[in-house]
Amino acid sequence: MLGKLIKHEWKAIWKIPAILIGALLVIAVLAGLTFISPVWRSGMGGLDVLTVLVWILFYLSIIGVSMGNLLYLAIRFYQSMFTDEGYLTHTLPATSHQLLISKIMVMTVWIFLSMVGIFCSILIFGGMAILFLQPEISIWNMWEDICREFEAIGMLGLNLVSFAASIIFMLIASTVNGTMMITGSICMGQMVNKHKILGSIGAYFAINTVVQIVGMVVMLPNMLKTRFEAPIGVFQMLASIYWGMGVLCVLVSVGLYFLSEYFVRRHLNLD
Amino acid sequence: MSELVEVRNLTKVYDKKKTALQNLNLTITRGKIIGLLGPNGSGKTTLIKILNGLLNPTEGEVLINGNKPGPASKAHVSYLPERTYFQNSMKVRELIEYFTDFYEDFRPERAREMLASLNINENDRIKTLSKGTREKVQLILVMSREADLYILDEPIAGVDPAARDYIIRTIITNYNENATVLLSTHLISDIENILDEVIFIKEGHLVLQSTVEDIRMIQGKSVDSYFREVFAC
Repeated sequence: MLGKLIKHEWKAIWKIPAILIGALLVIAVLAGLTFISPVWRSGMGGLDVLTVLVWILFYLSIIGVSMGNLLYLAIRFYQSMFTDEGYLTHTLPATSHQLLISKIMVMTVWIFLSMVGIFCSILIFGGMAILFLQPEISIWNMWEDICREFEAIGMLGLNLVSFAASIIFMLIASTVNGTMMITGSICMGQMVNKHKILGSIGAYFAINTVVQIVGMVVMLPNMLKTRFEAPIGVFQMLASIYWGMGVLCVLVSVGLYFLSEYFVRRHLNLD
Repeated sequence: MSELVEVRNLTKVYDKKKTALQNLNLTITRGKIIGLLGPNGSGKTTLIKILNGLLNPTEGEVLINGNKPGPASKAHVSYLPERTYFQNSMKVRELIEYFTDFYEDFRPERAREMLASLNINENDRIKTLSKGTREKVQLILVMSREADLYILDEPIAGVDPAARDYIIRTIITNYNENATVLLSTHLISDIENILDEVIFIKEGHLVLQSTVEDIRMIQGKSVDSYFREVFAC
């Protein structure tokens, strides 16, 4: 049942996020092409305006993909669970766990793909800038420079594998947390008798504020301790922050999942 | 066991203020077409939603085939709500695939036959269909299941007489004969002839559960006339 739910959830939502990410990559290439004839070297009137416009478009597209996809996924979740579509969703022979997990998994994948899309677009933009502005620099040379930098850092006593693991863990945990913030707040918003959407938005900001405060309270002593008692360098401090943030994200996500499941199972009241 | 649905001491209170159902008890047996009748706000839709697991009761319980509303009961209940629940961007063909995937008792060939008889193209998107056609597609999908219990909430409300006839014909020619159809409506005269039994609900209370034959014999009236008498304002 879970596999079928995931399949149909994927089919229901893949188009819009994929189009947005695809458009961002195209715009990144267009923005990168402006470096063929950079404005500061061009004498052609009007070209500078066009270049700046393309850069602004690229910047707005990045925001559009990150916010747009998040908003779209939130709206789809709300529609499929708590509007007329919910009459079909909640009469499927599936448990509330299966319904929620299928939606959370597909949403998380799309939030992750959005992040990957944004990262790739910046890479394309930056790569094309280097390619056209400094053609003497080869990608291979750059890679060697990066490796040398990491080796130097490694000699200072940093465990690179552990540092990379902390970043990956934090990224995965925060992506799942992003999904759970959406689902959790929308489910909590349904407890409001009227203005359920406003209730959901309010719940989102309330949860976010609480998580930020808890995060600061938990992380600050650790950061200060690392900074003043054991000066082991910025990377170790960052790694400990990333692990801490990751764990916090996991805890919040687990809490929000069970809260959401409880609301769906015990307090589902479709109008 | 001929009992299909048992409703025990069912109470539903909205927002701690409005009582929609009050200590309702009833039993629904197999192999019947039952009219769930009552004026607006009598609690019909609330009862239907609770049977489908879309609302949680405040007190009491309902059992379908001995199960509380959940995955086991939903696999055997085919529900037509009073609104269309499709995602507008879906094609009719995709809806057939959807129902085939999720309901083991769904018969896609039967659905395709009925769609073809109405000249509904499977490649049409829901958003391109008229409201009436969407409702027909939904009815076709619901009636193409071989369910134990069909719950139809106001299936003939707001449609023209020709469509009404089509809907009634679809219901009586497609339901599984070992199953029960529970059908809520205000338009009693239109469906009276197909009903075996009626349940009258008023202000969340059970007023009457009787066979249509008994009403005609004992009261000497049609169900429609008797309904008007019981619920006279």
